[in-house]
Amino acid sequence: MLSKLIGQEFKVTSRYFVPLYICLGVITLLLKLSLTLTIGNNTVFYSGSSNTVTEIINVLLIMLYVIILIGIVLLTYFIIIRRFYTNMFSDEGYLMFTLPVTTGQLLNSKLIVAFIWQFLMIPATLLSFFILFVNTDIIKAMPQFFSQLSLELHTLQISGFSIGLIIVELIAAVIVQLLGLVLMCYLSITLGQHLWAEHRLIGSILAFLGIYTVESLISSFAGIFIGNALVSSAYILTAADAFSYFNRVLPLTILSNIILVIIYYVVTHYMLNKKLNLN
Amino acid sequence: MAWNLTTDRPIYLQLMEQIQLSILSGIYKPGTRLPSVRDLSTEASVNPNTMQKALSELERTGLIFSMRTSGRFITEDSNMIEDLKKNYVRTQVLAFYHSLKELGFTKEEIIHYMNIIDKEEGLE
Amino acid sequence: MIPILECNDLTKAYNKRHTALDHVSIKLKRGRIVGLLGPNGSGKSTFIKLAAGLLTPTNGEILIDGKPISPETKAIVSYLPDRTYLNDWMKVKDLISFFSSFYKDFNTTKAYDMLEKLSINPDDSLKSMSKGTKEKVELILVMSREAQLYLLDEPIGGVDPAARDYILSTIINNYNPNAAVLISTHLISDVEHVLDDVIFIKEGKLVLYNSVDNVRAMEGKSIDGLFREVFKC
Repeated sequence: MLSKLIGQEFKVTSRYFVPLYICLGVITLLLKLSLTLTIGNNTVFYSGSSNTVTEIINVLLIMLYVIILIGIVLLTYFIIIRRFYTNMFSDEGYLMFTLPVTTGQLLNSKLIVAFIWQFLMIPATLLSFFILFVNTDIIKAMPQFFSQLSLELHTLQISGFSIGLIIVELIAAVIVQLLGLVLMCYLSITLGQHLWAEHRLIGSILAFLGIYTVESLISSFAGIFIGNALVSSAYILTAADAFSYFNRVLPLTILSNIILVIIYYVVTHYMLNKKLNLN
Repeated sequence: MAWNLTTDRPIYLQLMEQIQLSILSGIYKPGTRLPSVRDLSTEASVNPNTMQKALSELERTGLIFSMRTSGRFITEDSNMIEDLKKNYVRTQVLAFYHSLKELGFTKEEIIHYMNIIDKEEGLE
Repeated sequence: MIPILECNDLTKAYNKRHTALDHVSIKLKRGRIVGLLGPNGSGKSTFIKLAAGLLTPTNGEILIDGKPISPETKAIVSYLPDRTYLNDWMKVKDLISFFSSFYKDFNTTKAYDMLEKLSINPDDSLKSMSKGTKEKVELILVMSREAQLYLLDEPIGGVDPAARDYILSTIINNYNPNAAVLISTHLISDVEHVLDDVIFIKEGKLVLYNSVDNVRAMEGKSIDGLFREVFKC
């Protein structure tokens, strides 16, 4: 059942995301084309050697590119939030909540798909940058770049800075952060429904602000007390110092975020299960 | 066949009457098979349970009999059908007669008018 | 025989002032077509939504086949809401495959049969259809399930008389002695001849639950006539 729900989620949300990413692809290629034609293949940065018209076109395209990038971030969240609201709490909810599935399966399918679309922004943007900036010079320099990089990493490794661990922790932090963000939105929407049935939107926004405030307060306090206790000195003298700092702060941040994620999930699930009152 | 059902009497009684009339008028011939409950109820636009009840009642009177797997059949007992016909005419005539009586006509007037109308209209 | 739907003291109160259902206790038997009748706002929709699992009771309980509402009970209940609840851009054939993938008791052949009889093209999207056709599609999806309890919330409300006849004859045709059909409506004279039993709900309370034949015999009038009496303004 869960896989069927996930399939349906993808089917519906793709209708919005696929055109969005196609736009990104198109503007990336257009910009790349324009830059390549006017500036040449061998420089990365603008060298001021083309005429006014092409300058204007390039500037416009770059602006458009930035707008689309920002748009993708904003629209991703807009689509995710709107999908949750429409599918669960508008007339479509009459279909979803009468399907022979558990509330958990409904929530999980939305969460998983939302997470994937969020996550996708990262490789998509990276790929877009790569396409824009790559040229024959850079490609030639790549092997040298990578060997230099692994040398540096190796040196760091010896001095006590495990880059592998840091990367794992960073990835975990990003994943938990993304989950937390989506769940915060889901919880706000769910609470908004329950607390103020006539003015759901305002209710949801208030709930969101409320949760955000509480979260910020808790993390500030935690930061003051726990952070100070951990960091014996604020000076990072060596790579080993940096490593030990990150290695203490990151896991704690991840852990506290995981706790928040669990709390948000449990409350949202409870509200959907026991306090459902569709329209 | 149009099923005319009024709303103030139990439906199953009306269904019974309609089926009886169909037998009298020859729509359902003696010994022939009745359509299934499902078909009859769809035709009459009524609840299958109600149609079932009507048929069960008719079965009780013997007008209809069922052969377990083959369905329901009209009786071939011509006496029973004769009785049915006589009863029907009786009720109709009495109803007609009383409705005129209520308006003030006497028995003699009613019979007199029937004869005149027969001559004029050639009741056929 | 366990009633297919049972509620005991079922109450739904939205706040101190608004009690939609007030201690309602009913047992619905399988094989019956039951009318849930009452004026607008009497609690009919609330009752059906509680049975469908869209609302949670404030008090009392509601059981489907003896069990509390769960994915298990939802699998044997086929619900037709009083509004369009399907995604407009979806095609009919997409909807059919959606329903058949989630509901084991969905009869795809029956669905396509009914569509064909009504000359509805499975490749059409809901958006391209008139309101009446959309409602017929929704009805087909609900009636193509071989469920044990059908909950129809105002199925004939906004459609023309011919469509009404079609809907009612579909309900009759789909009759299954193992299933119960609960039809909520305020158009009583149209459905009277299809019902086995009737339930009158007034201001959230149960005021009558009897068979149509009994009522007609006792009161000497139609359900519609009795309704007008009971719910006189």
